[in-house]
Amino acid sequence: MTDDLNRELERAVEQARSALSSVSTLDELEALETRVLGRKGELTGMLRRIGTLPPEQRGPFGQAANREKSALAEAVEARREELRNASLAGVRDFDPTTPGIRPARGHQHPVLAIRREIEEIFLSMGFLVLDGPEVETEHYNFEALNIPGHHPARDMQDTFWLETAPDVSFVMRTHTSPMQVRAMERFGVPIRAVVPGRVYRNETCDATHEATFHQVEGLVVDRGISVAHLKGVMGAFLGRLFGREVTVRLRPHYFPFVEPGFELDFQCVHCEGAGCSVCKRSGWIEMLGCGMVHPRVLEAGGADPEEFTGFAFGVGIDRLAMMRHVIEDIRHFHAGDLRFFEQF
Amino acid sequence: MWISLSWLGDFVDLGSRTPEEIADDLTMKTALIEAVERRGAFGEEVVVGKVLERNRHPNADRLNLCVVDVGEGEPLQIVCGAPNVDAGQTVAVAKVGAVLPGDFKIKKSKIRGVASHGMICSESELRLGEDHDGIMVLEDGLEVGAPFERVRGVADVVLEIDNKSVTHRPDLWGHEGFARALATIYGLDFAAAPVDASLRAGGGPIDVRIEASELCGRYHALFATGAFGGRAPGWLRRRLSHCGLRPISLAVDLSNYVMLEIGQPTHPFDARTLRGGVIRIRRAGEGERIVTLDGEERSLPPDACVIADGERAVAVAGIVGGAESGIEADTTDLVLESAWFEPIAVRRTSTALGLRTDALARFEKHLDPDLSERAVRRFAALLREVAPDATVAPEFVAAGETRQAPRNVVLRPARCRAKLGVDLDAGDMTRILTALGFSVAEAGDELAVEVPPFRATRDVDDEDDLIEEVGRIHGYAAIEPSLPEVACGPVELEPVTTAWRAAGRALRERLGFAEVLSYPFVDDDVLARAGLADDGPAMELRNPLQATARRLRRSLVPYLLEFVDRNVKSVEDVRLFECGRVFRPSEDAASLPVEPLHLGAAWGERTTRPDGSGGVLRRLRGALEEVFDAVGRTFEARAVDESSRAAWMHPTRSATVSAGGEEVGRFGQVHPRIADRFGWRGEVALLELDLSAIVATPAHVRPYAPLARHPAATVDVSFVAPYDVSYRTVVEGLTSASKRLERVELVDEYAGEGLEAGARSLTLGLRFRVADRTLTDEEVTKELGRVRARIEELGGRVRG
Ligand SMILES: [Zn+2]
Repeated sequence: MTDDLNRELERAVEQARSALSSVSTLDELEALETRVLGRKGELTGMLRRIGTLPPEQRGPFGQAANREKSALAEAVEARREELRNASLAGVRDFDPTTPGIRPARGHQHPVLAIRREIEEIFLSMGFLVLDGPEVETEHYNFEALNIPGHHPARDMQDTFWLETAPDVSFVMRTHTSPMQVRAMERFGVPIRAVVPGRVYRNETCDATHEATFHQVEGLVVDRGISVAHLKGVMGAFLGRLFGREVTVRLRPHYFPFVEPGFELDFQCVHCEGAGCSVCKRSGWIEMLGCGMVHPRVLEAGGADPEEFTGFAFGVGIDRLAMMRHVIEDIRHFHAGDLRFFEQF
Repeated sequence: MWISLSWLGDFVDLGSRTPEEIADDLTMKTALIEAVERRGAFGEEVVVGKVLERNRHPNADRLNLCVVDVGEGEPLQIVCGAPNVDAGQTVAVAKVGAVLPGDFKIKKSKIRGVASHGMICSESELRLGEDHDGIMVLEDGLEVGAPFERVRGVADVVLEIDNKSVTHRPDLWGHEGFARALATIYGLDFAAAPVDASLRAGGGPIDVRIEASELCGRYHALFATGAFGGRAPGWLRRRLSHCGLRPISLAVDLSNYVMLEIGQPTHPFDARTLRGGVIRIRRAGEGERIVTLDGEERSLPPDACVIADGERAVAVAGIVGGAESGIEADTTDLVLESAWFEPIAVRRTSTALGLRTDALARFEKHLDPDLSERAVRRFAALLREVAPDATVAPEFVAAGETRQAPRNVVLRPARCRAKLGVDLDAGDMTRILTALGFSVAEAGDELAVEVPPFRATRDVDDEDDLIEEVGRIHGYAAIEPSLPEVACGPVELEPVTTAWRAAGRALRERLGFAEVLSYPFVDDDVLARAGLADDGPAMELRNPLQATARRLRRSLVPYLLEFVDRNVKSVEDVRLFECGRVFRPSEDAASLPVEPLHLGAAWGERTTRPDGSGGVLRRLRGALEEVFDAVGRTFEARAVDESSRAAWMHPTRSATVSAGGEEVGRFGQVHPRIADRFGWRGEVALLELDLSAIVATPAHVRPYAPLARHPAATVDVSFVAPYDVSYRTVVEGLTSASKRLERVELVDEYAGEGLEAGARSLTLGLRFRVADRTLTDEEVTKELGRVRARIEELGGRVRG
């Protein structure tokens, strides 16, 4: 009895192995697998018949049959891998250099993109991000910033004036700096805030001049704020914005609403300071105006200049966008031409 | 403004420091230097030559053919057009390869058929003067072939000052001021320009009357005789031209020299031309006119300060002299004016005349009034030095009393250290301030500082200004950066900025819109192209760039239309949006306008797509839903009625959007009249929302329902109904008709072929469910019956 069954097992295994070597497709392999190893397959059938053996033979036969079964299963898997590889090695049907399928792509305005980056950098440093009016009173735009009526600084900022009732005077803000005083009035001191927004200059547009552009104003007022802090914060900001260490210098400059006042230049990234056409041969690019908030401005904002000091800065971001993307004409920013925006 | 290093050397010994080093230090510690340029340096290729022969050019009467010895090999043949060239002259020759100022390269050339191997130079070609009527003839005896720059020793380096960086520093409008700054930076001795101390204030041949003392605070008149129409010496002329001023005559050159040196403008009159023995400083008369030195006749603004003689105006105070009273070639009697004019008034007059001059640039900065007398004394000293034959009257006339009082300011070293964030002691501060001309005395913990008059007129008036002086000279580069220690607290964006970002992200990243910016000035031309008119009261500019762009926008629509038009004829599918302020005057005219942030979006297609996608209007409606989802608010849309329809809106295909019970925007297809005007072939739809108003409505929190245990039954139902039966009415109707109807979804909307006008077919996906068991087929059929009945009640016709 045992011998019969053993012989049958041997034969079945032998047949299966020879069939395995001759199958040539995955389908044939699958059929063979079902026939031999499946739930109703030959080997399974033989194992079911184990009950017909005398009890002492059942163990050895069962072990032998199971050993053969798993060996066969392994051989089937190996053959399957061979056949699959063979079938995949056939005709090429994919080109990885063909562009993929994407949803419709929108475009961020390059100036607003930088504006948002700057907002994020300062949010991460614990600054409020505030809004202010674009039509501003003469008081906030000039007087509160220590720029009285006949100050020559008013000439430098060609101002759009609005038609108003005779007793008031409104302008299109010429800078975001009025928000220094407004922010102190609204939130008190200490304060850390940036104010991104549009500003206006009454000048004829050409490739490098626009009647409206974007600035970001920054203000920190607290006890014990010094020039060292101004340098530290500007360094952290610019490092994040450019994604690497940049060499900067603070050069004295006069703005009525700061004292001391500075222009902050950074070393030209095109020529590493050697001098090129981008930096007009100077090795430096003017980046922003900044300084220690003038005591009169602190007073205008309701802060005691004896107790508090602070620094402020204002950075024009259209120029940054032009530098980043090497844009030749500032007028593209307001021309609504999709051929321009599709590149961003 | 140009500053000459050799000139600075008169006041401070800069030793072996290079021009670049000096320029850097000035930039970092005083004023921005924009350029460093060599003047009067011509290299080895410009040499002393001797003209051996002068012959006629064979083909040109006016040209000479010269043979010039340049001290090497064969003499050179050079074509020269100057009438004064002659054999035997010693001249400056630019050989082939020389580069003259202005990047003018000398090459071998052929002039009217004859080869020329160089150029005989004029003063102007070498920027040594303005004389370009002929070549420069040098003194005999110079070594032929020697580099010209060496034998004449005229090489200099000039620094270009960025004028904007010294607008607040009246003391830096001359060489003396920069010399003082450099002496302070390098710790060197500083010597002021020498003056003639022997002159006395007194009388003179001409009486001076200040009749407008509010416009003129000081007036000095110096009298001298000499050959004032003649030439100033070469070194003086050279310094002027190196600094960008054209040498003219002895008197004018000396006057300019004093200005460039100590910063005080003066004006020379030819004494012959002054009538009536008097100089009156008065306001311009009604309709008074003057011909100025540039030959132009100008009418004087009524509040202008003029210098007049007994009969007429002879100069516009502080700005420009009159043509009739200027120095002529034969002038021998000089009246030199030096004065202090009120800075705001001269600036106003200059603006009214549209004329800016070097003198004005200085007067408007508010000079020290005492500088006026110093300039007279300096002029006299210089005149004696360069023209020994001239005589200066021992007395000058002095009128006016204006003086700058010294200012006393207390500097607390502790505050200085704290504000700069740098460790300096009182001694360091004293040293810096003293070198800059301040007087400093220690008073306990404080420094009592006296600001000299030349710094007190404008820029230094309190403690922080002194801190700036100390910080600047100490050097900001030497301050170690540090981050402030900050209190910890939550920070956020303004809610409307958050909404802008969220809406923008949805439009850009989910729907493919491009974000644009337009001008907030409404351009009448833009309106006219669209055939639109004003849409209500607007803020207006008093001084617009263009007369047609005077009003501030109340809506983003006009530029959206303009931008669509710029793109829609070449781009298949135009999607763009803008977020920006619009401006509405306040009720109260004394208050600033209201400036809500609007979002405007346009969706346009070049040609209408027959793809049954519902057109751009429904796609834009989808964009509207995305925007509200993104900002976390809900809205309702209603068909627009006649009264609230904007001019750009299609009469039937447009809507208002409301949130929190308020109207917050509108959207719709552009009126065919406008589309035709632009010649658009496809459809264009616009959306405009008031984001500021939207963020003020309650935030929408998505409701949650526990997950169902039992399956739902879903059935589609199609019906035809007039557009007047709104989708919203249908959904509300069906929901109230069947309690088991859990959700209604729009599967398809169709209008057009096969349906009457004004009708549409809707296919809705209905989902029925009860919470505690699975609905039976009979139950679903029953619910569906209720739904169909309600559709018929509402005026629909169920299909199939
Ligand atoms: Zn560069």
